[in-house]
Amino acid sequence: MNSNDAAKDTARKLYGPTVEYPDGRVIPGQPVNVEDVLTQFEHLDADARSAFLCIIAHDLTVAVRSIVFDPPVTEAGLERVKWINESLHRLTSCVNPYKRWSAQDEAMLIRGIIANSFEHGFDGWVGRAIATAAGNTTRTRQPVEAK
Amino acid sequence: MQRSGSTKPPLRRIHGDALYEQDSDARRSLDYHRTRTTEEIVESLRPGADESLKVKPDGRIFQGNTRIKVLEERGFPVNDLPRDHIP
Repeated sequence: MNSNDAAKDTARKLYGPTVEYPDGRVIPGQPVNVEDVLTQFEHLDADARSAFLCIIAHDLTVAVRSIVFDPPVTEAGLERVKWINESLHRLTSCVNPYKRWSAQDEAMLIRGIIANSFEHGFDGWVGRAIATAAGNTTRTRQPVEAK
Repeated sequence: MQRSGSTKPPLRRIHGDALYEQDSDARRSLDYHRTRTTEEIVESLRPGADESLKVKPDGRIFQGNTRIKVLEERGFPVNDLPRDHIP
């Protein structure tokens, strides 16, 4: 897939998390404005961009958990895991501080992950992940203890 | 907005208690979360948080297992927490 295809695919709709509250209300996921999110992403400093990318990666590990937890895993599920793993492979490479990518290249990586997610059926996971990452990288960051 | 129309299935941890005996990282995570206040843990599980409570429609927890275990130990009503639904 070339970068034009990737750019075109970000125009398709991603949605944030669906939340169920204790009183039974279910709030469906809201559309994610990918262009706005990526514009803001490119203006983040390197640490905040790392946090953004790590949140996406962490959410995608939950996606894999969800797919493989109940065997047997279908062929479609395996294919999805393969592509999610490719996303994780690239995400964990680009956050290495010794070989850091540019903000523009990292944004292009996110576009590619979005495009692959539509093609391989894990766009629901990527939408949740990007919405969560965007919501957690603009506030003041506090160090946390190892856990 | 929709209504689920029925009582939510109770939360079920996919990580059993045995994991914390077998896996030293899981044990360390449990020890860490036991040092946190209930308010901190609840806040960390809220929808929109970077590691929110993620739950399948049948109540199984796919993110937040250790924090829910700590809340259960404290008698917190975990089934009253909002849930981030996952497929």
